[in-house]
This record gives sequence, C-alpha cells and structure tokens, in this order.
Amino acid sequence: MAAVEGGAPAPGVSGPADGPNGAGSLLALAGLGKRFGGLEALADVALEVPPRQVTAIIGPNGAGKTTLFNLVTGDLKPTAGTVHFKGVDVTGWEAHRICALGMARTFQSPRLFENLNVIENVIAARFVRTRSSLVESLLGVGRSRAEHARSVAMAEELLRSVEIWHHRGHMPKELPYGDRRRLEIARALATEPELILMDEPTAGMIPSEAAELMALIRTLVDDGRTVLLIEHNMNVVMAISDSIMVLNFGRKIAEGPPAQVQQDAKVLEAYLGVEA
Amino acid sequence: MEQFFQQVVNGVMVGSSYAIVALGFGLTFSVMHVLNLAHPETAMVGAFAAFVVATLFTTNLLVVIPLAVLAALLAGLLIERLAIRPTRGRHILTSFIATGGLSIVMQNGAQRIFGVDPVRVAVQVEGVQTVGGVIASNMQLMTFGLAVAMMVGARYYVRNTRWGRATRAVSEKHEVAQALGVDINRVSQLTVGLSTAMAGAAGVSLALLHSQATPFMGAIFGTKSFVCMLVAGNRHIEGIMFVGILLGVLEALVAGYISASLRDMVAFGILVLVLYLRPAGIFGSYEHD
Amino acid sequence: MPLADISLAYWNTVLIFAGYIAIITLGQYVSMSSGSLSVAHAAMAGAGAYTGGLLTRDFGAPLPIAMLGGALVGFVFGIVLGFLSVRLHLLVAGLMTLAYSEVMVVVAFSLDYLGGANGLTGVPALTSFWLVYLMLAVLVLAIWRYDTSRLGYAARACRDDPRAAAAMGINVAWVKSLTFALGAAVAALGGVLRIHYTLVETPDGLGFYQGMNFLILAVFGGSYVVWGAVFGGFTLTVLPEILRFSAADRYILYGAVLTVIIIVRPQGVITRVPLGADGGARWAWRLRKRLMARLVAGGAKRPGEER
Repeated sequence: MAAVEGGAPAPGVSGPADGPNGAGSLLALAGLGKRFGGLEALADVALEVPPRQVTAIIGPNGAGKTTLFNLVTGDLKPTAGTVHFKGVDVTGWEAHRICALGMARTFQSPRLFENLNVIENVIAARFVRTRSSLVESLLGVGRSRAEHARSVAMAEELLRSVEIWHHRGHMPKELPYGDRRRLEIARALATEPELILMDEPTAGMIPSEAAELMALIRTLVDDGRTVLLIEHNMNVVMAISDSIMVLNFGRKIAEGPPAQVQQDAKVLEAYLGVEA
Repeated sequence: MEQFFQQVVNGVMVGSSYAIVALGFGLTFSVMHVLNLAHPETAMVGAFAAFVVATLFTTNLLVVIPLAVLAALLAGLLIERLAIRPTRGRHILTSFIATGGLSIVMQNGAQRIFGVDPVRVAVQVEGVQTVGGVIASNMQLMTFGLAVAMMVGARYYVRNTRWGRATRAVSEKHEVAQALGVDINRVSQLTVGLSTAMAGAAGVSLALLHSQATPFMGAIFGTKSFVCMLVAGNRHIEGIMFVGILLGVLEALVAGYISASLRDMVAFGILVLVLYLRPAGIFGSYEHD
Repeated sequence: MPLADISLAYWNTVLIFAGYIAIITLGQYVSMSSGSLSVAHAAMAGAGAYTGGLLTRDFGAPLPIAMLGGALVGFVFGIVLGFLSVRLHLLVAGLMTLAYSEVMVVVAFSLDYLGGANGLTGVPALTSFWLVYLMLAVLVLAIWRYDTSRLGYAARACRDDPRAAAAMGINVAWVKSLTFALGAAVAALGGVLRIHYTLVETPDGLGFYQGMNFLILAVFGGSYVVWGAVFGGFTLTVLPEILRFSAADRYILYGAVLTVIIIVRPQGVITRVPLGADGGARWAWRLRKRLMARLVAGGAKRPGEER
C-alpha cells in the first residue's frame, strides 16, 4: 500500500497533551459506564491510549466494545465516568465537536453516504476542515476555490492510498464489501484525525485483504496517527497491536501487550470458557 | 356541570373513532414498517359505501355496516397491492409518498364521483339514553360499542391467534420471520385488511353520527388519527385507544368552552408538547429509523 | 382540439405560472437536500407573498426590496421550524411542518390586516415574464453551485446517514436547519413573484394540500438534482394545461404519477450524474457487472456482503 500522505493530523495541536487523567496519553477513559434502562452495557472502564500506537479492544460478542466506541465518539452519552481526548474533557460532547477536535471512526458495517459517489463521500467529510461560507462557494470567490481544490486533491490522494482510485466515480453500492470498508477509512482520514477508531475493519475480508489492511494501519501509525480498533480476527490483533484491552460483560478483564494478554487466565476463560 | 359531562360524552364518541383509525395506522406501521397515508381514505370509502347502499338499496344497519366495511377492506387490499407491497423494506419515505399518492387519487376520485359538497347519509337510529341529564343517542352508543368491540377483537387477534402470532413475528424482523416460513405477503394483506376494515367501520360510524360524508373527511380525520398514533406510540393498543378518546374529549371541551375554531389546533398542540417530552410517544417507539 | 385556442397571452400566463412554481419547487428541493420532509413550502411561499405584497402595497417598496424582505421572512420562519423539528423522528418532523402550515392558514384567516378570508388584494402588478425567468435562471445557477459546495455535500451526507455525518464532524442540527431555512427563503421568493402577478394571496393557498403539491413536484422531478425540481415544477404545471384537466382530474393524475414514480424510479424522473462519473462508462460498467452476475450466478458470496 502506498503511503498515506493526505490528511496530516489536525493543525495547531502537536502531540499528546498532559490531561488530568493521563499524562502522555492521547485518549483517557476513567470509570466509563453506560446503562440502557436496567441493562448495564458498560461499567467502570478505564483506558489510556498512548499516541502513535495501535490499541486493540477485544472481547466476546456483546461485551460492550461498540458501546465503548459510541461513548468515546459522542454517539452516545455515558451515564458514568469521563472521556479525555488530547487533555480536553469531551465527556457528553456532541459527535461533530469531538470529530473536529481530531477523532474519526469507521462503523461495524460501513455507513456510507449512498447517494454520493465514492470521491464525493470523501469530499463531504472535508466539511469539518474547511471554512468557506455558502456565499463564497456560490460566487466562487475567497477561500472557497482553494479549499475545494485542496479537498478534491486530498480526496484523490486518499482514494489512491487505500487503492480504490479506480472506483472514484462509482456509487458506494457498486463497491465490493472490502472496498466499502476502505472507502470508509479514506472518508475518516479526510477529517484529518489524530485518533482513528475502527470497528472490526477486517470483518468479512479474505486473508489477503486483511493483510493489506493491516499494512495500511501500520502506515497510518508510521505517519503519526493513533489507532484504536475493535477486532475479532486474533491474527490481526496479535500482529498489529501495541497493547490490548479485553472486555467481557461490559467490564475490563485484562490489559497489556499482546503476549501478556494471550497468557492471561481470565481472558482464556472468557474466550474458551475454561476454568483456569 | 351537566354541560361538561355532555361534552365529555360527545368527545368520547368521536374519540373512539379517532382511536380505531389510529389503531390501524399503528398496526400497519408496527408490522409492515410502512406508513399508510391512504389508510384514512378507506374510512372515507366506508362512509361513501354506506351512502350508496343507504340511498340505492336499504337503510337497514345490518346490511349497511357490513357492506361498507367490505368496501373499505377491498380498498385496503388494493392499496396493499399497489403501494405497500412494492415499497416494503425500502426507506420509510418511499411508502409515505406512494400511499400519499394513492390518498390523493382516492380523495379526488371521490370528489369526481360524488362532488365536493357533503352527501346526506340517511340512516337513523332512533332513541336516546339519558343519565342524570346527560344525553347520549343510541347512535352514539352503538358507535362507541362498535369501536370497543373492534379494539378487543384486534387485541385478541394479535395476542391469541395463529396469524396474530405470525404477525408479531413479522413485526420483529421480516427476514427472520421469512426464514421461519411465515408468508409475509399474506401477513401484509391480513394486517392492512384488518386495519382498513376497522377504518371502514369508523368511517360508517362518522357518516351515521354526522349524517353526511365528504370526499375529504379522511384527510382531516386521518391527520388527527395519525397524531394519536404518534402521541401514543405505535405498538400499544390500549395506549392508542386511550389517547384517541382523550383527544376527542379535549377537542369537545375546547370547542365547547373556548372556541370552536381552536378545536383543530388541539391535536397539534398535544403533539408538540408530548413529543418534546417523549420523542417516541407516550408508550414508546416508532421502530428504528 | 384543446390546442386550437393557443394565444400568446394565454401561454404567457401559463409559462409565468410554471416559472414561479418551479422557483418554489426549487425551494422544496433545497430543503429536501438535507433530508427534511416538508409540506410547509406552500406556507413559506405564502409568508413571502404576504410580506412582499404588504411591502409594495402599504410601504411603496420597490419589488427587489419586497423580494428581499419576503425571502428574509421565509428564512426566519424556516430556521425556527428547522430547529424545532431537527431532532424529531422524520415522520414527526414532517407532521410539524404540516402543523405549521395549518397554523399559518389560521393566522392569515384571522388577521384582518392580511385581508382575512378574502386574502391580500390591491397589490401592484410588478412581475413580468422576463423577471420570473431571470430569477429562475439565477436560482438554478446558484443551487447548482450549492450542490457541489461545502454545505451542499454536508447536506446530502446528513440526508443519507445523519449518524455517520455527525461522526465525520458535520453539525447535523445546524446543517439541516440552515438548508431548510434556505429552501424556505427560495420558496418565499417565489411567493413574492407570484403575488405580484396574480395580485391576490388567499389563506387556503398556504395549507397542507398546497404544500403536498410542491413535495410532489420535487419528488416527481427528482429530488437529488436541481434539474429535477425545475422539470417537476414545469411539466406538472404545463402538461395539465395542455391536457385541459379539471382540478380534480389534475390531482388524480398527480397522485397516480407520484405512486408509480416513487415505486419504479425512487429518485425521481431526473437523476444525478455525480462528480467525476462519466455517464457512458458508468453504464458500461453496470452492464458488464450485470452480465458477469448472470454468468457466474450463485457464485461465492463473501460473508456479510450486501447485494
């Protein structure tokens, strides 16, 4: 995969901030919990995501992984705990503000803009990094020309880097499943995120595709981005992650580098149901 | 005080008709995930069928009501085939617009056939009952009884019959029900048929109560029923009944004590108020969308 | 033969009608571009008409000022209604627009200053054929540019998937309210042009039924591309004139057409050719795909693949 050049981390912020909840970590969760009525989907989760690393969240189905993503990205509001991103307390913020601060995500099953074509999907995501007003756009004056040109150029670059350039004029529904996921990643990158959350990026992919995606994720990290991912494919997780958090029944049961988590008795129990 | 109770009684009678039409809205929406905008027009069809039968043949209620219900049922099945089946599983707006188109065709078709002016439905049930100065005509009582009977019947159907259970299975997830061997088209027909037959009965009731039918009666009436469904939430039969009757009573009281011209604003007032407090209706949820 | 009595004046009238109806439909299109369901655009046009009419009749304002004032009132009503309904379920939001229309009808009816049931009259005739078509051209150009603007893309992202749009940093509530209000302003502008041609605006022109009319025009023509609204507004105005339909027949035709179109062509008659796609190649690609699918029917399908 080609190096991802477009979409450097958001300007004005360099590196991690020393937030109250974790010096040196880009994202810090403390005591995070979510109740749906009487059902406790997530309870007391603490996590520190260091910058320029791949952190993975694993756990059996229904462990609360996607709920955690939804809480972090502002899709849902937590019922307990805090989320600090880049040292800013973003607990309860609306999703678009959190994205503007430099966080982007992909969804478990791709949620694309189905009536925009491939390149327009990416251009639409440039909204948050552009400023031109409607009047400027209508008259084609001021910032609008330069911004539009830059957005198109960046979209083209991103599509090349995730290798779906040849699909640029197609509608999302015409794309094979793996390419839909790549498009979603390109779209997320167009918002110039420092932290990108991927929800099961290799689901439904054949091994060679999954391997390409892993290479892409590595490139992202090499370019200075931070990746938090939910993944079921253990080969992917073990190969790519710098650290892993394991959730079960909405609670954190283990945390650490892959080798250590692999040996953890509680993890084996959660996954295999063996008494250890 | 007597006047107050009289308004309440009148409100309950009209409200029970709102409730029956709203119930059909909710049933179709819950089961087929389709919003049938032409649903209230089937009430209009029922009313005009009653007019035709009463004018041309007989004013015997035992003939008029079943034939009117049958007409509404047939109209409903036609709507199901033309606009609901082809839009099933698509975006909610698709069914909204497809059935909305049919609703326009039906209203103006009726206007074309019967004219703009109200027609007189000459069926009368004689007699009144008086309790402590509050008067209820036998006609009103009959209407109310019919509404309650349909409510109980619909509830029994959904809870206790084989097709009712299939209906509930479909309402949960179409694909799963299909995999379990449920014929969705049949469920669709049954659901829409049941809903529109009930709407037809409500249409007859209205035509008899007011002794008239107009091509656009469904539009006015349907909007309020739709509001009832939204306020109550689409899945709760008793809830819809309750809200329907409540709306009828509130309208009667507003018309009686404040101003008749404010009457039609009541429904929207309640809607705005309730939906700000509970965005998915009092008793819960407009499915996922 | 219905076409026998063609006269220039008659067609002038029909075309002016079609022109401002197309403008109001463009307003509907802009509001729909971010996914709002509105039956309030007749009421928005009406608000514009009343405002514009009062400005020229009672304040002696020139037409451009009246147009500006009407559009501004439409925008304000639009932004209020937009914010009120943006967080509601789509259907409930649609119903809110219905409620708004009916409230506007009642307001127009009961204010004597607005002429009550007789409507606003005594407005000077200021609209001409050329003015309507100049405005239509300007608006088509502006909205065509809007579609590929920053706001236009964001609006369509909100229409397709508000949750994903929010995750991509788009302020969905603001974008939807703003575009709704812009559409309302365009519709109101159409209303100003209308009243200065018809010289009367009555309360029933603001109601739900008229609002449904503009929704139909936009959906029929195609609500995903600016030409769709123009096409819808035009054909469904001019065609019934040629065919000499009565009002009831016209609505029967509308209704039937609407039902058929939404089922067989959900995006409307005119559909969009997106950025960077050349029509021919796309066709060929689709055809090839269809053929391939035929040839390898039942071929391996990856888990989770949605087809």
